[in-house]
Amino acid sequence: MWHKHTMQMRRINEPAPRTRPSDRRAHTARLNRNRVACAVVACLLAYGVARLLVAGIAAGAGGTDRVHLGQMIALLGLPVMVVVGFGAWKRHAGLLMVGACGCLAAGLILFAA
Amino acid sequence: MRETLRTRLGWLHGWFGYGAGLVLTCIFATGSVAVFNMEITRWMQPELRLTAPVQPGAPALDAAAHLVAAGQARGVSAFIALPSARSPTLDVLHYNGHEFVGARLDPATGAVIPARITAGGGLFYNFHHTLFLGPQVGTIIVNIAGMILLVAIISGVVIHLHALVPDIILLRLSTARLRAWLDAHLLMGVLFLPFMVMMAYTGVLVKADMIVPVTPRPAARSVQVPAPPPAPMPEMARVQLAPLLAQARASLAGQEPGFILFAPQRVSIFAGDASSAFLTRDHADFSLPEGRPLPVDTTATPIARTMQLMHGLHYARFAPPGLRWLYFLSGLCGTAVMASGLVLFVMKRRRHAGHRWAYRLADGLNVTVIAGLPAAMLAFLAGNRLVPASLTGREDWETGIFFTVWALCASHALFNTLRGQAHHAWRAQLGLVGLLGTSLPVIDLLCCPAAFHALPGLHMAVDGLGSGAAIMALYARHRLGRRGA
Repeated sequence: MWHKHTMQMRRINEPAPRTRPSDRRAHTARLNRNRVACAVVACLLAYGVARLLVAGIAAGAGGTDRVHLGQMIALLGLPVMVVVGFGAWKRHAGLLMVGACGCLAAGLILFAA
Repeated sequence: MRETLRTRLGWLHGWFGYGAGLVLTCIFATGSVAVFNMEITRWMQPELRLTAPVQPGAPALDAAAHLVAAGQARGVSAFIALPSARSPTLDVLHYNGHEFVGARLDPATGAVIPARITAGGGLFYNFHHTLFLGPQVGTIIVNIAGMILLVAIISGVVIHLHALVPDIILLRLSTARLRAWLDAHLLMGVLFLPFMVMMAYTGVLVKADMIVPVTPRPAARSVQVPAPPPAPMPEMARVQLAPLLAQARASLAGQEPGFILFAPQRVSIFAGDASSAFLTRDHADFSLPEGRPLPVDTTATPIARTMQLMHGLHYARFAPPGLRWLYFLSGLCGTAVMASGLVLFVMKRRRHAGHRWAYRLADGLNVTVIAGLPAAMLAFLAGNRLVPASLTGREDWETGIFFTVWALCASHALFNTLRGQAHHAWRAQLGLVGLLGTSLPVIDLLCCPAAFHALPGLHMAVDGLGSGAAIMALYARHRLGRRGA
């Protein structure tokens, strides 16, 4: 462990610097705010991608069958996308992955058109 | 606190699980009971004492057609449900906005059986898929809850991935209470994971059009053609249904006819849902009033067959009694997973947030869902025996009893928990479940001894379930009393 200011290694028996309760509370509140915001964005993004998937798969000829196939795939993928979008939070990797799926789904629509 | 995948998904599992869990516990509990919706309706109509289904004769079918015609004259669109192993009467039913109700006929003679009007098992079925909030709003809420259940399941699996197999055999009831509840949650969650995933996925797929609808693309050169005026219905009383039914039985190879539906130009005889695991809705059509067979295409593509299987697996109408009991017990265990999750969510926050009103509100909602709902369900069954059989609009009275008892339980639970006396709320409501459950067989035997004698298996099963619920509630109450809140 490197000390924050002196850049010297902290001794192993040296107690860790204590954070004040108010800092801890502020940190927890910030963490919760970020989590709520990320969960909302992940849900909305995943739902939008699911709608795009259904529209993309149902876009070509094939009628009701393709609509059903699209719905089966979209409803299977929707909860997975929410978990990935929320769970992979480093550098928003999860949201970017879900967004990439959305681009693929939009590509399907354009391809069918 | 260091942010890891497990802490992050733990937060998602906890908050999403608790938010939707309150609704999902009710949906799973009523869905488990709705597996026996027809049997419960038979129990709630003790005047029906037919034991085995009989093929409907021509006089009975003609009488049913007369009733359909009479309904159409009043503007009520009715259909005929043919006798089956689960419901041996010939029924003329219509949808009243919540469930299918109507007259029940003896399939041999066509005489109307003077059975009491009841909300029946349809109340649980309706509550399961619409929460009694109407077909639009209710279904959307149930679908969203089902989707959140899938999110909670996936996040729960990721959290416990490293200990998924050991969790199957780990149950330490004598350790700390929080640990014991967590063990129970994990044990049942892991064992019934495939069932819960199957029911949640097929459930949202059943109403997929409402959650991921497809926007119809406007046609390039569409010509607006005004809809033709509705054709008048032919004289229904003159339609001979018996020969049409015989023809339909021949054309629906291997499937037993289940329903007869009427349209202005034709009559359609549909295969019963119990015919196979695929909910095919295959039908044979006949023109009206001549009764000439009309061409029907019953070939289904692999995707359509898959969709039919998904519907069939969710509704489980194909299931023989043994499999139906398995659905019921698995549903109850799924309910227990959610209920234990609700309790865990509150227990984990007791030390830090026990004094806050939001915590007490959550505790009150837990009591309302876990103890109040079974009390309301048992009160509904007891109310069926206590409300006079000839009372006008008695099905509304029964429904009213269910919701009134539940609302009273909610008020009692919130009143106590908001004052910091959750222990009193739990003990009182578990005691109420015990009282109602143990009194159910007594009320049944005293009010309808002849029905009990005619169908002892059915009555013992329903009364036994009430008693089982009472025993569990009284045991939980006893444990609460011994170990404190």
